[in-house]
Amino acid sequence: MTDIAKETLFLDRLLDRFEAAGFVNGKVAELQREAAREITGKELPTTRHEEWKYCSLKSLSKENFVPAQNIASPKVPADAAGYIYPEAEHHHLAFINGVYSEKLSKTDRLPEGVIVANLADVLAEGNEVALKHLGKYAKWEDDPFAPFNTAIFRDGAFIYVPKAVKVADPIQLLFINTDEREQYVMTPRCLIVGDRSSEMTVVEDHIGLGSNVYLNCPVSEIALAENSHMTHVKLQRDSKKAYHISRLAADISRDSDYKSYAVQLGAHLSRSDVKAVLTDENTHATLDGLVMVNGDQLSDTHSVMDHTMPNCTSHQLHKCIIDGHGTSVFNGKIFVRQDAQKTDAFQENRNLQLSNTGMAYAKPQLEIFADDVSCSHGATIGQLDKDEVFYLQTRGLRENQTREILTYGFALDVIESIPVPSIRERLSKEVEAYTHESKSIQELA
Amino acid sequence: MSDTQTIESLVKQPYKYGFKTNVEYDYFPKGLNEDIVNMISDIKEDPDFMREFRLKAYRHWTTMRDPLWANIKYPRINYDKIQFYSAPKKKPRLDSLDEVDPEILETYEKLGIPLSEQKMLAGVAVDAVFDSVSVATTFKEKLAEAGVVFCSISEAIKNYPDLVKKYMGSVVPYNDNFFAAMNSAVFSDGSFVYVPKGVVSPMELSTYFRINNEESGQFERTLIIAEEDSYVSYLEGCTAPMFSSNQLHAAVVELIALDRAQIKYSTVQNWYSGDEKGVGGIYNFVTKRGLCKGDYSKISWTQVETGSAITWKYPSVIMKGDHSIGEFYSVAVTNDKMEADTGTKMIHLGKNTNSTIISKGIAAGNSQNSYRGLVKISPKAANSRNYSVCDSMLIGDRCGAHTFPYLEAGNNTSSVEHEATTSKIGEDQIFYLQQRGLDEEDAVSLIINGFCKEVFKELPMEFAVEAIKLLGIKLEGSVG
Repeated sequence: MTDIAKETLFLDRLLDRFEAAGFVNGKVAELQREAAREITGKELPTTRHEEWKYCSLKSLSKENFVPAQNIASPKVPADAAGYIYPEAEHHHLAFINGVYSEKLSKTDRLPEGVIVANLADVLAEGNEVALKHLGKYAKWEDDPFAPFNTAIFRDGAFIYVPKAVKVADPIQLLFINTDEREQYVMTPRCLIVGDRSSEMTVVEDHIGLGSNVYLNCPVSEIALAENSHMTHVKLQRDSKKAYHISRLAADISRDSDYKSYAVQLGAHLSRSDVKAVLTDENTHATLDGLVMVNGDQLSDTHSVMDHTMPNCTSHQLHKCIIDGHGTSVFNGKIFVRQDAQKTDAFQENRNLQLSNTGMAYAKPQLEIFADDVSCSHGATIGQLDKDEVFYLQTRGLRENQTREILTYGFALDVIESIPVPSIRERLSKEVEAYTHESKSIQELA
Repeated sequence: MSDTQTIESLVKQPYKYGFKTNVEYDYFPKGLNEDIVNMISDIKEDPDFMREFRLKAYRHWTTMRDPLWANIKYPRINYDKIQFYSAPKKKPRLDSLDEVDPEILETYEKLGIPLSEQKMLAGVAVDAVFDSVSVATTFKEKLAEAGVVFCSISEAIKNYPDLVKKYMGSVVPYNDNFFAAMNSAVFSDGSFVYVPKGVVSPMELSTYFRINNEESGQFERTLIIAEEDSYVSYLEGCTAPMFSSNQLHAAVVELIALDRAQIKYSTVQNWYSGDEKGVGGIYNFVTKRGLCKGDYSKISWTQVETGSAITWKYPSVIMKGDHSIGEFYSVAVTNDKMEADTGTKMIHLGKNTNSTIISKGIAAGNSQNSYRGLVKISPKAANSRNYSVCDSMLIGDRCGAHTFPYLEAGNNTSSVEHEATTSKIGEDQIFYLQQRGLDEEDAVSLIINGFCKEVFKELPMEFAVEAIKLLGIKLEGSVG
């Protein structure tokens, strides 16, 4: 390939800026080299690609980024510790622009055998569990972003909960993205492994402090062994000008259950691909989501619920609120493979359009190869119920107040299920702020 | 001109008047090139605008590629091996019903098609076709009284060139998609309906399509224009004899409804679907689209798809006029190795437009049945509504049912609702009906009829009866 062509290819241009992460472990180094080879010479997908139909990466491809670790002294505010949820006070990992911060992290009062540490350190030590699972699940067809992360990641989170251990309090992974002049790119990597009969709750929080442009490209892999239970909350509050392109893959074994709640509030363009593979009988997965867009934000969620074995259940509730010139995209795939008899899969996608200028795209998708199943999906795009608005107005509320309340109620369905009280509180405030800022609502006053 | 109506690949039942068995095109070259398009134009004695339309379409077609996005798998079609125009051929013909494959006969008996019609359908004797020609002619007189024009498209091109020029390609442009472009270049015939202002068509219009020739493709083109305040209901039936090779069918249907006009288009498609091993069968690539051009107009599609090895078909409605309505009712049944990727597009452009989608998919054997639909509410289509239901039923564990709905909405006064379920026939349901004295097959058939009821009730009576029977035959032996 000539240099000119390289100059025009976004991924190549980015890869060039990174030096090899320098993992001594041969397996990791090879994984990274292979991933780099996979995307070298590849172009970013265009809207002609079915999976990117409503999500254009044109603006991203024109941006220039430097590796986040090149920023010598990021502007970390003094009160950064304030972003730690009280429930996770004793066990949290913090990352500044994707780089592990030992100073802000804390991992005490954990049950014996539990590992919560920087992934780079764990891999350097040659932790066998980490080596065994790394790179095994985060695989999407025709996708450049998971391999991009794999090729250049350095720091990240590694969580391991041993056999029959229950971690009662949530473990927080805090990603603080600072307001810098340089446009930076980061690729944090999370690997979470739950051994047999383990239990844990993990909170992943991405916070943008400024309104600067950066690219956050995290990849998370989750492996749950038999009879383990995990709750995963992800909050995306990146800068309103940032790009957030994430990948999450969960591999769920027999009798296990995985519950994921993803809330997308920030970023100019956010795209998350989530995949749950139910690999054995009697497993359950929940992939719930809440998306709120305003201004010219675009939020795109692609989920895959893959039922491969009999007697499994899955649940998905994905809600979107669209205001301003915002766009929400949802593509929820449910696969029921030939062996997955007695599957019970449910999916609901509801879109609330506040403004007359927003766009909502929904593509719920069922692909079923087994006959004795009960699968259903529903998708709606609409407005607040007129009767409900009227009812509240008869009670003396102004129209903007009624709409604030009802919009809040719409979002609450998802928020309520989140098991960490302080996150519920945090989110309630975010929704309130959103409705306060909503011109479509407030101009009705 | 009328000679061309003897195209063996297109046996139309009700309106084949003026039938002449002349012009022996024993040999028509295979493949598609500009010469072929010109030859077809020559045979059809096309006026200049038609020839240009064909050539323009052909030139565009050469720049296009087969659409591969649908959830269907088939070997690439070699378009050089297809005869794009087919005329009567002196090939060994079956002389009596006794020589027809008993399997076909059994099917027809179950369908309750009278013997004379059976002969026609089985391709035994041509006179059966002639018989129905005279029938069609009487209809034509009755229709003419009301002012309704119902004739072949070739005749319309000759007699009503202004209408054809104005409307053909206005809903499905020549460059719309690969198969529409191909059809625009080579379409051989089809039907034309024109309902004048304020006229309610006195009867249901119907057409029977048929592919008879083993190597030929069939490319018919239908154009229906309903002027202001008019109403027409149109039925289309399709059959084909069994051949071990695959035949190509690429049709285009265009409907135009002006202010307050209503068009109801029903199809029972029973092209040959290949045998249980997937040998033979029709590749059915159809572009059907209706334009609600005027305010308060309505277009309704009802389809029962029981045949074809491959079905690729998305009858759509563009609701351009304010307060216009689009409807789509569909039952798609696949068995053996059949693959269907069918659904609809509802494009809301006008204000206060309404659309309904009811789709029922039944998959049995080794078949794959997909629903693919688009509901698009443009930012200007204020106060629009859509309601969609797509239910699938699986019979057996070797088949697949898939749903690919696309919902797009761009304003805050409209609403889109979509729901889909997948289920199987419950053992307890069958048990209950067996308890009541029904045998298993009847029990299943009853349950399936219930499953499809919402769609069948949209069909005209005779068609509904036929459709129910067809369904029974199609799924025979797939349960239990």
